[in-house]
Amino acid sequence: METIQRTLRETFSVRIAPSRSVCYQKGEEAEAYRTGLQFDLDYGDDCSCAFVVLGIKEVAGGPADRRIDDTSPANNGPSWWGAFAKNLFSWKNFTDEFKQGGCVNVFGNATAGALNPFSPSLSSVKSSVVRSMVADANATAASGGLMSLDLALAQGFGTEMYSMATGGCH
Amino acid sequence: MSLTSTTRNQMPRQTRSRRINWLLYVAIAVLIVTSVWMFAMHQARTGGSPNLPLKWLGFAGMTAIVFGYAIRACRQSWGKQKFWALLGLFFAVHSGLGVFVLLRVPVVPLVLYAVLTGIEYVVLAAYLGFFLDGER
Repeated sequence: METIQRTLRETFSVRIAPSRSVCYQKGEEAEAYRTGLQFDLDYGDDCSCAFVVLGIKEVAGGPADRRIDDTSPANNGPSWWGAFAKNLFSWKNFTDEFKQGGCVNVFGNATAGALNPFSPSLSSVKSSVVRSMVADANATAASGGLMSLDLALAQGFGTEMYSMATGGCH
Repeated sequence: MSLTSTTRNQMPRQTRSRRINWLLYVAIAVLIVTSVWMFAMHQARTGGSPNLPLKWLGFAGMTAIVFGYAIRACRQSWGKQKFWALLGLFFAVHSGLGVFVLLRVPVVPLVLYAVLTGIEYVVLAAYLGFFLDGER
């Protein structure tokens, strides 16, 4: 597989909840796929511990290369609702929302991406051919617009010259 | 060679390249303006229409932009016959459809070309990606 020379900086912390606990042990590989602007982890049920994904190296054409570097056993901490409440009202979590990988940041990027018809998330496209071509899509669209403008200007100039030659304008 | 001396040697080359580019831009602009002016004079003398064949010019420009950018973006596939065959097939379909439509439509708004250029480029990207994916 072709490795892209770009390592994503998002840090993913998995919240502890009965319905959404992570099932992977330390060092065990988790399945992480690039879907749009977020990474989705493959969760399992009835887990007793959770891990923090520190970095995901993106690989073209298939599942992402992944590492699980740290553990934070859920059994030793507060109850899941306590951890949830603490996370919910955390000032750091609030500010993190605006940083790379934060929900507000993702919302902003997705909104901007949706408004621009020629900027799909390159990372979500698996084909390397499409990736390299879509990178030029903005320039192509801009060129099309400029060409139309240039032709319109040429038409105006030509009509003016024609009119001058025939005495229609001075 | 140190990084500083390399940078120093690159500077005059970049300046020269920029000057050549600007001269080319000016030459192309003069050529286009002169061509339009001569076309207008010719039409005025022969009693023809002052209108440029905009629908054909637009189609030619759109073709050049879409295929030019695609060929540039797929530099890694230049050595593959399949790439050129796929591109040739797309070009044939593009030209055939374009000529078929333009022969039947008297006027095409220029704005349409501006919109269609981006759309066709994305379609071409998806088409080439579908057939060439995994071969690069």
